[in-house]
Amino acid sequence: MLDFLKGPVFAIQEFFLLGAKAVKNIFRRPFYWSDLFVQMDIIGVGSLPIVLLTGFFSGAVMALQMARALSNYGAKEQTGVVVAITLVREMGPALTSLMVAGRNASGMASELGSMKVTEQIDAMRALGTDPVQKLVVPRMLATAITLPLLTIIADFVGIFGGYLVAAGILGLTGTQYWTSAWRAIEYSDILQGLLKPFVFAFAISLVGCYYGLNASGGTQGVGRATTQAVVMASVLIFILTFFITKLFVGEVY
Amino acid sequence: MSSDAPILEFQQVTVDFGDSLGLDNVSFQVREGDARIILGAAGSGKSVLLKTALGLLRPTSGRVRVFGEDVTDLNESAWFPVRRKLGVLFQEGGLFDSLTIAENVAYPLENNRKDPLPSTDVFQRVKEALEFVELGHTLDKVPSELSGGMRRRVGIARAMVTKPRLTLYDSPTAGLDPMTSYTIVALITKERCVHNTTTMIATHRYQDGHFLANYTYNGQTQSIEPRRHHGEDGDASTRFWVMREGRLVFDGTQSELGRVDDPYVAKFMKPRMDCNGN
Repeated sequence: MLDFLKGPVFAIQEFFLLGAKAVKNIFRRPFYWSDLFVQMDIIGVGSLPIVLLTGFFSGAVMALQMARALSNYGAKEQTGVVVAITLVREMGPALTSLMVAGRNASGMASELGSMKVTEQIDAMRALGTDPVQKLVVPRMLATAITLPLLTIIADFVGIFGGYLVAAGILGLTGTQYWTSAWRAIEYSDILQGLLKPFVFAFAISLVGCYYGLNASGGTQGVGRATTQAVVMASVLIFILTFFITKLFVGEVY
Repeated sequence: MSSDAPILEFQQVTVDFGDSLGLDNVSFQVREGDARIILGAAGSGKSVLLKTALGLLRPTSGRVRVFGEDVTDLNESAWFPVRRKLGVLFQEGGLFDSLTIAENVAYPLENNRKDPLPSTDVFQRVKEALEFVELGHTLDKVPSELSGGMRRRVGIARAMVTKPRLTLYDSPTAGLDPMTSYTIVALITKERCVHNTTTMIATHRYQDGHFLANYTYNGQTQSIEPRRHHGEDGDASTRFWVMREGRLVFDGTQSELGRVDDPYVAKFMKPRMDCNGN
């Protein structure tokens, strides 16, 4: 039993050590600015199309579903409220982060995993470069900067998708939809909606980098690391979103 | 050729991986100008020995000294200045996929932020190093455009561009055809002779060690030629080691290796005997 637990406990310890080292290294020199901008381009700009699509259609679907439920109570004009609150608080951060996890945690794990199995990580260390400083810190910061921005875009596009459904299919006016949506959102919703992707960003990037840096066993090992990274990052997003939501909802109840 | 102070010293070094021993109580000294050919089967500890010397693996017990400095307990950042004085060629070359050949070779120079070189000097040194390995025309290519042998040659250029006193080669000829292997070992011999670099090669090919022990680079004729031996043991600065299950089971000259009865040690001589038709 002890041997069975040893592996996961050791992995969790190594993961937190990597996270602590990466955070500490943010304030250490040298800082690889060019790598940060390259990663921001890959993660931020690269994820934009997929985030726009998922944001738009999740807002549109939500408007369709909510309008049906709300019309039972004669409150169809409140569709904007439900779409806006759900997207800003929960769906926007979670869906955007899941998309970025699927795209970038896998990318980081496979890129760093390939570097690991072809001894590029060893070469980097042998040539006097700290792989955490060079590879992990730029990826972590780039994700932490771009994921909240992507979430803002996804939220807006989702609310816009909801508007197109509300105006085109449900017969609501633009004023009804946008006014109710705008009034429904409070500062705490925005704070919650931005805190979540910021926290998820660390989980996604560190999980991707951790599995990549610990890949072994050739190309098969890289594939395994990639799959594990996506699964673990996605699961962590759901676990973390519960605790952050509890933090905010706890104020009310 | 050798001076007195060892530039690399292991004292009873053990590297324990938990389920197996990477190194088992290994002790040795390597002096300036020496060459060491580390023979051994796969998993015998050759690469572990080199990686421990580079600080990429930490000894479980024992002491490691590099250039006279005890590096056993150094943390990662304290290792960086030590590693900058070493050259290393990894088994697959270890080139960075995302960088061009010129950027790969320039990496150790540009990475040295404490003592930076002007960019014109960096370019000059990179060009010289690549011309040394006869790949001066590949500056703007990326590693994926080169063959396996060419990537190893670029790896040699990167290892020697900082003019290190000690260069470690991890299986430099593994997976290469005989002609390319000859080119690689000839380049290592040339590098050793031209810059008087202390050289350690981990390999499973006896021929690599035989070449290094018996051939030299003539700077005047710019060609590889047989070494003129003095005495039965030939070049005394070139010694052969044989590793087995993390232990150093043989340490001696080429002729001593030829006289060993142990079947494990002797099997590394077999390829040469077969070549002679015996």
